[in-house]
Amino acid sequence: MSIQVVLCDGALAPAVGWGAEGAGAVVCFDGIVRPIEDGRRIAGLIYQTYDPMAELDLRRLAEEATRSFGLLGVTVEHSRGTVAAGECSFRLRIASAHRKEALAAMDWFIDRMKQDVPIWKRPAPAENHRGPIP
Amino acid sequence: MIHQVLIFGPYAEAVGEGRVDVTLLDDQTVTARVVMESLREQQPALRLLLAHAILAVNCRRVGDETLVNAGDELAIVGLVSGG
Repeated sequence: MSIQVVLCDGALAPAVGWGAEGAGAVVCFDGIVRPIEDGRRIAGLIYQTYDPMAELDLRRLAEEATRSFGLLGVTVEHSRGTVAAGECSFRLRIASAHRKEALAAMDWFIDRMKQDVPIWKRPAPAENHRGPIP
Repeated sequence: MIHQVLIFGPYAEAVGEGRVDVTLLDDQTVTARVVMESLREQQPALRLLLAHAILAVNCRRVGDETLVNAGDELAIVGLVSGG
């Protein structure tokens, strides 16, 4: 079993190859900042993290997911600071022996993260935008 | 005794700071409930938001009756929106 948690400034770099010994499935989810939030165009999102607790919580979630779903490996990366629309702010990779547990764990982890982990975001308004998107 | 409480996200936006002070009586047994009630009284800008808040002590969410000691790191979490 391997678990890695990373909080970093700005957008995440493209994913590089990763796996875990014995894995028959590696699932990677990239969370991309949408250009429109609540009907308004935005330049990006500004993330704020309570670093020590966010890291602990993400690690606890990864450990719980590993136990519950029988995973072989988990890596979590999350941005802090400004991430432009179209860029990646969150990446979760899960390795397991078979695809079903990896896919189920992916959904479970993201739901729990959004509910519990102390990370906040607010939109960075687009400079030249003057109204709602038609 | 004055405790500092870290705040983030909508809580920090409401008061324009990343931390607030909460003053507690010296002879008071300080629990998480006491901290939250005192915050509601002393920080009116946070009053509504605190309805959705959880107190974290040393990076762990705690229940109402958890004791808070001098030197503990206190933070308001809740209303999170990561991902």
